[in-house]
Amino acid sequence: MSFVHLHVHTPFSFLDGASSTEALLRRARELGMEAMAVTDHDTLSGVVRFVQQARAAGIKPIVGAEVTLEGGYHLVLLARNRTGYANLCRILTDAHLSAPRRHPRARWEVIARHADGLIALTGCHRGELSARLIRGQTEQARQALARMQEAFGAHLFVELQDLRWPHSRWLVHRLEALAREAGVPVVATNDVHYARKADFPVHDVLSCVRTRTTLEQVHPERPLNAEQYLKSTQEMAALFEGLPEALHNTVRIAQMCDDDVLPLGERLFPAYPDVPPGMTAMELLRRFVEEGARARYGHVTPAIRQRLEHELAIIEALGVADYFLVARDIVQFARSRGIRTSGRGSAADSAVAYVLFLTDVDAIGRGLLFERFLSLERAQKPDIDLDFDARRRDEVAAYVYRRFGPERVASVATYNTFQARSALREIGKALGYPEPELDDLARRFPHIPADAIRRAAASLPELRRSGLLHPAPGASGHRYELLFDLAEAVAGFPRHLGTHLGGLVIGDRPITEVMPLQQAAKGVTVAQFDKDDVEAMGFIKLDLLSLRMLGAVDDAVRLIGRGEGASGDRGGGHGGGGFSYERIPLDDPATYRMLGEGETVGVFQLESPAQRALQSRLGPRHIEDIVASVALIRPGPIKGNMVEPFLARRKGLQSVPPLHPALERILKKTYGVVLFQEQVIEIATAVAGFTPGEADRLRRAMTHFRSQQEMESIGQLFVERALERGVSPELARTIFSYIVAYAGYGFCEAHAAAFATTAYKTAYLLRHYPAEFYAALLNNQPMGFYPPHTLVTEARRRGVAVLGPDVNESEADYQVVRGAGPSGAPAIRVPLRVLRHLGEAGARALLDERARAGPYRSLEDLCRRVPLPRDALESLIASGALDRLHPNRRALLWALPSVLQAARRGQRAEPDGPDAQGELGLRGQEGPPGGQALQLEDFSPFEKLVLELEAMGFSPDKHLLAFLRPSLQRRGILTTQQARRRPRGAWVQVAGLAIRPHRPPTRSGRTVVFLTLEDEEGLLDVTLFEPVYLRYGHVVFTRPALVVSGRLERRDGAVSLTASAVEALPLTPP
Amino acid sequence: MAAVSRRVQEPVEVLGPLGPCGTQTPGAVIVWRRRRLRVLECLAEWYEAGRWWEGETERRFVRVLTEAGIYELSHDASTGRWQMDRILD
Repeated sequence: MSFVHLHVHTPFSFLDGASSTEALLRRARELGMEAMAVTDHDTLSGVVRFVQQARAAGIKPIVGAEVTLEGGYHLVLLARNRTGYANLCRILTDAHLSAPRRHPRARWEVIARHADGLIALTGCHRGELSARLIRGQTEQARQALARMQEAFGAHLFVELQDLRWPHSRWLVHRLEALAREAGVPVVATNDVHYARKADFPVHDVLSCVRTRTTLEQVHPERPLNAEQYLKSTQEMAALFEGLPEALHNTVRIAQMCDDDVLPLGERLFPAYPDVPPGMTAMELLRRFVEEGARARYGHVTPAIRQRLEHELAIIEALGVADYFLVARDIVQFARSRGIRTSGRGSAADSAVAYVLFLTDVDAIGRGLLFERFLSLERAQKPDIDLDFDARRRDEVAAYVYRRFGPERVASVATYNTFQARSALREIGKALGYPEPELDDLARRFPHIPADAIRRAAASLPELRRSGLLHPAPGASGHRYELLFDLAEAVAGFPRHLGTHLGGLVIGDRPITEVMPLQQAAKGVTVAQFDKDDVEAMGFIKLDLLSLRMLGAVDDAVRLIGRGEGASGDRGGGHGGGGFSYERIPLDDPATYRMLGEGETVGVFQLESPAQRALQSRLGPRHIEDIVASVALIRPGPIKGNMVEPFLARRKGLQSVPPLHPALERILKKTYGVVLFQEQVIEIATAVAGFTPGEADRLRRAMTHFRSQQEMESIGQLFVERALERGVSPELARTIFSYIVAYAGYGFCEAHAAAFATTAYKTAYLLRHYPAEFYAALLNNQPMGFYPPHTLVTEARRRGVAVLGPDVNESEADYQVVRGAGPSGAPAIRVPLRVLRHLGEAGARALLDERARAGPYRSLEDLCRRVPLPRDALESLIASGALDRLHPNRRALLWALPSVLQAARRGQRAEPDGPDAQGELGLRGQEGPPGGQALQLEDFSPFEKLVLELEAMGFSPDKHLLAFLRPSLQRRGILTTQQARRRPRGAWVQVAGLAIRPHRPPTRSGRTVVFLTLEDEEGLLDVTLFEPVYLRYGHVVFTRPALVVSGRLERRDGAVSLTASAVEALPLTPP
Repeated sequence: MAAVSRRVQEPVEVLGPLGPCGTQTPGAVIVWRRRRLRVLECLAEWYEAGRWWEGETERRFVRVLTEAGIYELSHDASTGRWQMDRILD
C-alpha cells in the first residue's frame, strides 16, 4: 500500500507551518514517498521553491492551496494541469482582492467558474462538510457536497482526517457515509503542519503568535496534540485500516496531477507596444542605439560601433530587445518629467545601456566587459536596476502600470522572515515574558539570523555580561533556554509578505494567469512571489529603486540655483549658464583635496568611518580612485585583504609582480590587485582563452561555490587551456592561484563606476556648496550613515551656521539663508515640519496661514489663527520657533494653557495692538496672574538644549558635550579636535556621543567594533579590537555617550583612536 | 441535552486493554475507589499534548461506557499510569 500526503502546510502558511519545505521533503524522502503536495493557506508563495526542491529530491510536486471560502470554510484545491494552476491563481487573486486585507475569502461563484483543471478535497475540520456535520446540520452538509460535486464532478474527493481528536473517528465515519451516499470518493490526509512529531511545540507556539495568545491561554485554533506530522504510510494505514480506498485515492490523485503544472522558465516579458508597423523590436532598438550613440559620443568611431554591434548581436540572440526598449521608455518618461534617475549594477557594463541613457557609465571608455552583464553562454535574463529620486519613484511606477496595463504589472513580494530580534520578541510573548523584558533582551542582540541566537549569546559581551543569561537558582540553564530553542527553530520562516522596494514585473498576459496577487500595505497590489520566484517563472524583473541621494542632489541643485549670483563664485562647474550638476568637472583639485583629508561626512558612499579613513590614506587624485574606493570598502575586498596591497602598490611601496603581459594590461588601473569581477573574466579570457561566457561561469563558481573539488576542477581546465595558448604550466597555475585568492571577493566594476560618479559629484557639492548640500541632506532624511544631529554638527564645524526654526521665517523644508552665517556666509534654516507633535500637517497649516494673513505677532495671535494641539505648540516653544515672538520660553510655556483656552473660546486674551507680542495674553483663567510670567526666569541654556533635543532630536546651535566640557576638562578629557592634534601613539581620553557602533566583517574573522565619537567640535573615529570589545561591549552598545581612553593612531593622514578602555558618560546637567 | 460532568483527577487502575474507539472492549475493568467498573464500550479516544513547556508528556484520553455510567480516563505513557478525569452523568 502506498500513500501520498496531499494536505501539507509549509511556513508559507504564515505562522501555521512549523517545518521548512526542505525539512518536509527530506522527511518525505526518508519515508519513501514518491510525491507530496503543498497546500498553504490562501497562497502559492511557497510553491516555486517547493517545486524546485521537490524535483531535486526526486519527489513529484503537487501544487495546491487550502483556500478559505466565504463563511470561513476551508477547501483544498490541487492543480491537475496548467489550466488548473492558472485557475487556482485566479481564484486566489479574487479571494484576496475582493476581501479585506489579510482576510481573503474565495467566492464560490468564482471557484465554480474556474474549477477546470482542479481537484478539490473537502477540507479539514473547518471544511464545510465537517463543520456542518459537527453542528448536526447533516442536510446542509449534503447540499454543500452536491454543490461541490456540481463544480468539480469526478475531481471531488471527501477528505478524511483522523487527527486523534475527540470526535475524529466519529467524523470519519459520518463523512465516509455521506460520501458513499453521494457517490463521491474519499481520500485520507493528515493536515500536516510539521515534519516530525517532535516539531509540535514549534507549531503550538506559532499558533499562539498567530492567535495573539500565550501558552497558558486556551484558544480554539491551538492544536490539541502532536499528530499533524508527516506520518508514514504504515501509520496512515493503521489510522484508516477499514478504508483502504481512502489511502489508494491519494496515489490516484497524485497520478492525475501533471508533473509540470507550474510554468517555470517560460518567456513572459511583453513585446514593446510602440514598435512601428513593419519594424521589429530589434530594428527599433538599433535605431535608438544609433541616435543615442551620436548623442553620447558625437562621432561614432569604428571601435564604438564594433562594441555596440557586439552587444546588439547578443541582445538579439537572447531575444531581449523588448526589455531594453521598455527600460528606455521608462527612463525617457522620468527624464521628461524632470525626475532624476541613474542606472546601477552590472547594466553599467553595457554600452547599449549607456547610449540609451539607462546608465551614466561609459562602458566603452572604461573598457567594461559586457559579458559580466549578458552573455550567450550564460543566457540569463538581463537585470537593469534604475534609481530614481525617492520622492518621485512612485510616479514612475504609476506610469508603468498605466503604460502596460494594470492587469499586466505587479510589484514583487519580499518575505519578511524571523530574525533573532523578531523571533525573541514574538516567541517570547507567546511564552508569557513581559514585553519590557523581551525588548531589553532583543535589543542586546545585533541584527543576526534567529538560528545564531545561541552562538551570539555565548560570545557577545553585551549579552554575556548582562546578567540576563545567568542560570536560574536550582536550574541547569538560564530562563531563556526554551525561548532560544523555539526562536532558533523558526529561523528564516516567513513572517509576513511585504513589497519589494523596487521590483516590478511586466507580463505579456494578465499576471493572475501566472501567479496570484494580493494586497500589501498602503493599498499596493503585490504578487505572491518574490524576486527569485518571478525570475524562475520567466518574468524579467525591472528594479525601479528609490535613492534618497538623488532627491538630495535635486534639492541641492535647486538651492544652489536660487542662490546663484547671490553668493559669488564659490566653485567651478557653472561656467556662464549657471550651475549644472551634469557639468560638474571631474578633476576639481579642491574636491580631491577635501576627499584626501577624509572630510566626507554626507558624501554618497564615502562617508563611513572606513571610507573616510581610506580617503585619507588613499589621497584620491582622479575618478578612478573613487571607483576603486567604492569597491574596496566592501565585506569581500576587506575579507580578501585587498585594501592594503592596493594602497601599498598605488604608493609604490610594493611592486606589482610581472606575471603576464595580459595581466599587466588588465590589472593596471587597480595596481595589480584583482579588485573587480570583470577582471577575473578578462584574465580567464586572455590567459586561458575562455569564452567570455565560460569565464563568467568561472567567476560565478568562485563567488558562489567554495568546494575545494570544484575549484580544483576549474583550475585544471584553466591550466589546460592556458597551456594550449603557450603559457607555461607553472605560470598558468600561479595566475590561477592569483585569481582564486581574490575572485570570490571581487566587486562589479560597472556598479562601482555608476556609484563613483555620484560619490564624486556629491563630494563636489559638499566642497563648494556645503550649506546647500547639508540642507538637502537634512531634507531627505532618513538617509546615509549619520543621523541629523551629526550632519548639523558637521555643518557647524564647516562654518555653516544652523538657524533654529522660526515660525515667521522657516519654510516647508530646510532652506539656505544668504548672508545669515558668520562673515555673511550662507546659513541653514531648520523647517517647522521636523518638530515633534507638529509634523508635516501642522507645519503646513502654519505656513499656509502665514502666507494668507502675514507673520504671526504673538503666541495668542498664532493660537487664534491656527488650531494646533497643545503638544505641537509646546514643541514650537521648546524648539525656539517662537523666540522672536517672545524671548522667554518658560514664560511662553507657562502662559500657553490660558492662551489656548482663550483662543478656543474665540476670545482675545489681550487686545490686539502693536505691543501684543509682549503681553502674552496672560489674563486668562488658567495662566498666571497678569504680568508675573514676564518675570519668570527663562530656562538655562542647558535646559533649552534639552528642550530642543526633545523637540527636534538636535540643537541648531548647541552641543550637549559643550555643557559637560568644564567637568571633562577638569578630568583631562580632550575634545575630538584636541585629540586629533596629538601625536601618533599619544594616550588620550576623549568623550562624545557614540555614533553608529558596528561590527563589520573582518579579514581575520575576529570582532572589531568601529564607532564615531561626536562632540561640539566634530568627530573622531574609534576602533575597539576584540579583547577591549569583550570587556566593554556591554557599555558601547547600550550607552548614548562614552568616554574612551586609548592610543591615537595616525596612518597616512587617517586619524583614529584605538580604545583600551571605555566608560559611560553620565549626561547630567552641569 | 448537554451532559453534566464532574472533574475528578484521581489515580485509577485499568485491567485489560481500553480501545480502540468504537469497539467493544470485552474484559476491560476499571478499579476506582475500590469499585470494579466493567467497560462495555470505548466511545471516544484522543490525545492531548498537555503542558509540554513544563515538561508534561502527551496523554491518551478515553471516554468509556461502563455498567455504572460514562467516564473519561487518561493515560500517561511515560509513567504507565491511568487517571480518572471526569464523570459524565
